[in-house]
Amino acid sequence: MTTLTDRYVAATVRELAEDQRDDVDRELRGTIEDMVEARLGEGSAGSREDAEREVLVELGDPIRLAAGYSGRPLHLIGPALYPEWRRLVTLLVTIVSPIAAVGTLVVRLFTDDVARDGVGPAFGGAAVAGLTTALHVLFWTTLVYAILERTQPGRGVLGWTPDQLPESPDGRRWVSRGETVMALVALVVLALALVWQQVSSPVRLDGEAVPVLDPALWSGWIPLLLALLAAHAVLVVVAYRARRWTWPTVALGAVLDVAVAGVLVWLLQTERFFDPGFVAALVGGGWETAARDLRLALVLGVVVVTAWDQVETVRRMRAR
Amino acid sequence: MTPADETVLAGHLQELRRGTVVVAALASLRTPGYGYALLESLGRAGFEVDANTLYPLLRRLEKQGLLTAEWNTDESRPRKFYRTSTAGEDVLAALRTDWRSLDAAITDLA
Repeated sequence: MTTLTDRYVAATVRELAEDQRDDVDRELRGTIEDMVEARLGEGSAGSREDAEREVLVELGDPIRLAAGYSGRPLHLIGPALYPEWRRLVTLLVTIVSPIAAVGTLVVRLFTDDVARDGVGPAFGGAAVAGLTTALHVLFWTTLVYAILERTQPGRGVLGWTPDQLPESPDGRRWVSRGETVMALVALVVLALALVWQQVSSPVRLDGEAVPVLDPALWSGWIPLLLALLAAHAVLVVVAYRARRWTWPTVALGAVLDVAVAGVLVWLLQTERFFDPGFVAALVGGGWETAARDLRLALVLGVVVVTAWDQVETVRRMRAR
Repeated sequence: MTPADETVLAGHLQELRRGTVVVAALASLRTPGYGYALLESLGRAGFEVDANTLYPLLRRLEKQGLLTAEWNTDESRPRKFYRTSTAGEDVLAALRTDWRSLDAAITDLA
């Protein structure tokens, strides 16, 4: 018959290295017996079983006791690694999750049968993709850091230097690499989307691919938009290489923004933006006011985003 | 003192006493002793140390070469006896010196 002590000792030594086990087993058994005898001697415990139980409660969780013997950490990520882990998780989640969500949204808007199902599933899918990505980032980063905690205890990996300090509000004129990359990625995604919706549009009307935008725009307007986006990309890189925005570069950026917005709004308002087939597909799918709704939503969106961008820029430039 | 104050004080006292168990164990084990006996004698001397802290500590000190250990099978139950090694004596002396200079420094502050 196995006693509680047998089970306790087994649970403890199981956590230890092979060469330690027999010795700890023997000593721990003796110690438990010593403690039980002492309790019985004092007469404080009733039966031997009670005394044994009390002693094991005093010794506590075998995992903790074994950690004391082996020197293994009792935490997943300790104080040496926690700040790095937290910084990395925050960084990755705030960058990777939105990219996954937006990427999914764009792809789903094209691949879904929007005419039949509406845009709900696409937005739902994007939210799920963002969340799933965040969970994955969190899990894998934590796993790597938990392994590091056990293989090189007490040491950081990336280390910390004052260069990693976040910009204070005063330093907002400075152009960081992160915002440059984000701006470039956004521009490239936009440009690719413009081309993609035409050359391999996954939007289907009666099994036939229809582009989202009016193909007539390719003679003039879409090339102009692509050129404006390219100019903006050049500007972003110039600002990054100069390490800061100046009033001339900011002004040029504003001109480009307003130009893009102007072209988009004008095309939308004159109903030359969308391919008639695409709008027909939406209307056919039960969205009867699709033409008007899309026009209003996009005009509003373009105006709001452009205006907000300018306000933010000016605010940033005026911050001392 | 309110219960909150007592918790604060208990926390500080625990921090202050944390390292003293090593000093007490090294000093006490100049006479060889086994785990439970040491736990008892430290308790009587005013060092309240948990069993699950002391037993692993003895092994760590043994591993660091500050204690030597051997099994004594003369009695009814085999017991592992620890004794402060020469290296342990040196560390004990250094810790004691440090303890005294800390005490002196704190006395000077007061």
